[in-house]
Formats: sequence, C-alpha cells, structure tokens
Amino acid sequence: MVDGFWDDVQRYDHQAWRGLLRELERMNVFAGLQDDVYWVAEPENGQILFISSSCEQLYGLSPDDFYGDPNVWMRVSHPDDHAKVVEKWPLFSLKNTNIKKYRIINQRDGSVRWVIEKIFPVLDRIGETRLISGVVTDLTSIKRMEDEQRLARDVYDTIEQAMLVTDEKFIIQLINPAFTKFTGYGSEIIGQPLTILYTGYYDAWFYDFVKGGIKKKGEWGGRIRWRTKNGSSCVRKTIVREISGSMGETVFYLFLFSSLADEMLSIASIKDDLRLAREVQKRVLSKPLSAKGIQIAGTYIPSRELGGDMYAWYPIDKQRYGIFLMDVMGHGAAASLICMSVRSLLNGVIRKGIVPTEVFRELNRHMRQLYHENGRMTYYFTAVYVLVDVKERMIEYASAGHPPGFLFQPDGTVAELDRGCAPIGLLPRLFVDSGRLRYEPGATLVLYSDGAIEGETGSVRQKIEAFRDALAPHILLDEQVLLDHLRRHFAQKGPLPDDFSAVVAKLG
Amino acid sequence: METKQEAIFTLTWTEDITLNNIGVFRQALKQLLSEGADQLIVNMEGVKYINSAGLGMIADCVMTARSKQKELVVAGVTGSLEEIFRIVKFSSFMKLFPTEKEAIDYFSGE
Repeated sequence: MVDGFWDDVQRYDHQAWRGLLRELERMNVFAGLQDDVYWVAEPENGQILFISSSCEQLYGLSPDDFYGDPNVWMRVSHPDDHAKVVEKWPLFSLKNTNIKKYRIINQRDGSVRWVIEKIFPVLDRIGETRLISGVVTDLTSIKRMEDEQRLARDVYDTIEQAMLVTDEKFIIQLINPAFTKFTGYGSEIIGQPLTILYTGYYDAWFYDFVKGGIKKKGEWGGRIRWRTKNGSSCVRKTIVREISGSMGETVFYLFLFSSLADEMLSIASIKDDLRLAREVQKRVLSKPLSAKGIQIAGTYIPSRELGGDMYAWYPIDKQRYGIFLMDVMGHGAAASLICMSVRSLLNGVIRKGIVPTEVFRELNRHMRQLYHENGRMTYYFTAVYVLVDVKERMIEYASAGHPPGFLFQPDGTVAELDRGCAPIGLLPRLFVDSGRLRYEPGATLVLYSDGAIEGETGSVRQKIEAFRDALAPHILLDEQVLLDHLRRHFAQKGPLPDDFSAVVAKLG
Repeated sequence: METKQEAIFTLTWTEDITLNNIGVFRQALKQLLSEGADQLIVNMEGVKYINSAGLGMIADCVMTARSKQKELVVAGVTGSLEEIFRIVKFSSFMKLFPTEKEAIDYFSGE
C-alpha cells in the first residue's frame, strides 16, 4: 500500500488520489482504523495531503480543516507537547517507524486526549522518502485507567493507613507498607489465612459476628485487637469492606486499619470513658462498715485497663455478715460489665442464700444463664465468700478458684481459706466444699484478688506466702491503716498489670 | 504434637499459655476433641503458666468431652502449674496427673 505509492500519486493531482483514499476508507480497506486517524503529509512542510474522516471524532476538526491549515498540528496539540510536534518532522528522514505519545486538544469539546502516533515514511522505488504518513490512536481511556491504577498503587504504597486485602475465603492476598509497619508482617503473610492475625482475645463467635455483619451490610467497622508478628497485640479501629465482582459475587475483602494518629485521638476519648467507668465501678464498692464485733473496709487499685474486681459486704442479721470479693476472667469493658451485673444480683443472692454453698450455686446458675452460649462457657469469675458470725466467732467460707484468703489469729497463727470449688460460671453444676474456722477476739480476715500476687518472681505458692508474710508485721493495725499501707506498697510499683483489691475485716 | 496410643489420644503442649498463643491453644483443643479417641490427654509437661482464658478453655473442653461420652484429662501437672490448678480447684471436676504415664495408666485401668 505504501511502498511505491508516490509514483502513483505523481500521475494524478491531489484531489484525485485524495478521493481514491476516501473511497478506500469507506470500503474499510484500512482495516482496524475505524477509530484511528490515518493521514498522509508532505515531508518538507508537513502539509496534510489526506486525513481519514475519523479525525472529526478525535480532533474535533474536519479533514478540510487539516487540508487548509499548515499549522494544524500545533493547533491541536497541547501547549506542553508543542516541542514533540516540532520534533516529529526531522525524524522522517530516519525511515524508521517513529512512535510519539502526546496530548491533543479536541477542538470541538475542548477535552484533552492522549494519543499515540505511529509515523512512517512513504518510499519511492529507490527507497527515498516521498511522503510521510501516520496512524493516530486514542489512548485516553487506557491512560486514564493506567493513571487510576498508578494512583491506586501510590495510595496503597504511601498511605499511612494500613490496608489488607483477602480473597473471599479470608486468605491474605495483598498488604501495603503501612500494614508491615503496623504488624511487622511483610510479603511472607501473603497466602496465609486471616487467622494468623487473631490474638485469641475473642471467641470464634466474634469473628463470625464480623463476617455476618459484612455479609449483611457489605461493611463492618469496630475496634479489634490484632496479633502482630512479634506476638504482641495491638488494638486498631478496623473497617472491613466486601468487594464484589461483576456478577455480584464476593471477590475480595478490604481491611482498613486506623492510623496510629487516629488511634491516639480515639484512645484519648476512650480513656475519658474508661476513667468515668472506673469511677462508676468504684462507687458500687461497699463503704467501710463498723459494728459490734466487726469492722470491714476495702481498697481497690484499678490497673491500666478497666478490670473485673469487685467487693461487697452485707449485714444479714444482727450477728451475721456476708463478705464477698470477686475477679472476672480477663480485663476490659466486658469483665467490668460482668462484674456490674453480678453486683446487681449480689445483695439478693447473699440475703437469700446466706451460706457459701447456696450463694455460689445461685451465682453459678445466673452466670450460666447469662453468659453461657450454645453449650459453651464464655465468661467466668473467681470469688471468695465469707459468712462471719460475730456472736459464735465463727466464719464459714468458700473460695471459687480464688487465691486463698488469710485468717490471722491473735496468737500469730494464720489459716488459709483454701476450700471451695471451681470458678463460678465454668461448670453446669458446682460441688462446693465450704470450710469453717473459729477465731479469737482480735483476729483479722484478709481477702484479696490475684493482682496482689502478680508480677513478683517465684511460683504462685511462693507469691502467696510472700504476700502473707508481708502482711503479718502490720496485721494488728487498724483496718484502714493496714489498707493504706497496702495501697502505698502497690502504688510504688507503678501501673499494675492487673487490678488489685483487698478487704480487711477486724473481728472482735 | 499429637500421639495416638490405641484409644488414647494425647495433645502435647509445651509453651506457657498466654494472650499471645491462646488462639492456637484453642484450635489445638478443638482438634483434640474432634479425634476419634474417647480418652484424651493434654500433656502440659514443661508448662509453667496458664492464664485464666486457658483455664476456661480446658474446663470447657472437659465438659464438651463429657457430653460426647469422652474423657479429657491433663498430664504433666507439677510445680507451678500444679499450684495454679490447685487454686482454681480443677481437681474437683477433672483428673490431673503429674506424668503422661500416670494418665495412660488411669485410662488403662492400672
């Protein structure tokens, strides 16, 4: 088609072969050029000799506009690309196909379009360049797609927000650098199930709940504790979005984790709430009681998190008092809420049950009813309950999986309150083995949560004995003074990993 | 690590059970319960600490096993681990053994 074309052109005037080319175009001889623009020009001055009618669509100019304007290429090209337009003419002498990518401005609608232009020489019989021709292809949509992809890639790589993409089976497919910064996991996590990031902090139902939320609404958001590569855990506000395919089927899940800066703001707000919650929790603790034959007081030092410690005491009749101290499994708002729910029941349960066996059985029944789902235990608590009879000078107690309380007698001997049962809420039925102990006037009863024996070195037994021995020299102090001493002792250790609570009852 | 000895199936767990590996421990127990054997041993020899969530899981598995006419016992309960189990009074509803051999002997009726 091109080679030797010049000889044919010489035989006719421009109009004649221009008509010929137009006819060929109509006959679809320029296969594949329906949307492209084909043109032929003189090499010396770039004068357009022929241009296909598709130029109307691409340039917003008719072929006649091209034939009549020697500066048409400058007119349609983007100002920033004028240099490229100038460059293309001297290159024709190279006889090779020259490819240029540049922008043009559609003269009709003013839009900027990206085109690629392939230019090649039209040779005569001896191989000299006689004409030049070109094919211009509109790349705008491809360029836009490329730009969007590059933008998405740049955003994915540079955004401070950690991102993770899984397939529909929650197998990890993609992560970004911020995710690596957050979790420590790099490309080695690709192909792993999402469970690798689970901390064990939540039960399986929680993840089912999240998945259910995504299925229902296409999105789920909330704060989740994720496991990092070094084994620690980290809480992040997380949004999970379902990405559907063209048929509406789930193709991917996109996980967006809040940035550290967002998290700090969020944490500040949560800390305010927690401070308030801790205050509420403190206010439900029993106030000191002083009656004939008994004085009771307690202290509570919350840990960094909201905790699950609680104590309370009630006069049952003129000679009996029920003293209770509990510690819910784990920390956080859930433990605290369970604590408060037990607190609301406690008065009724103790006044009705009175003795340890009945009190624990009734609490166990409530816990199973409230927090036992689908045959599985979700929460439990340890507790110690002591029924003091000031007239008989007798205590009856039971410890439900709780560290043993101490009964310090005036003669210096110490009894451990180590009989009882498994923690409350763990088993369908409790077999409570309660203990009874007599006391002499001047005895001191000390109950405490396991915060008192955490963080020290040695075995659990050694820690219990160390705590008992630390109490012994101060045991004759008034209950409030003894508790102040304990508070000072624990306060100097800095922030506690667990709540610490203690109850001291001076028995006359 | 799991070993099968006729009708007895043993899960050997050697790490302390903390927040960091509690999810893996849960999965391991779940797998143990799904085994065909009726007599299940969790050998915790070498474990010095188990957190409250881990204790809850063991208790839960003991009850689930019981509901399936199976029995789950814990072996390797010595030292610090024994103290923890004693405080929470797990011996009131399940069998605890110092060694795996004693657990196997128990199941074998010896």
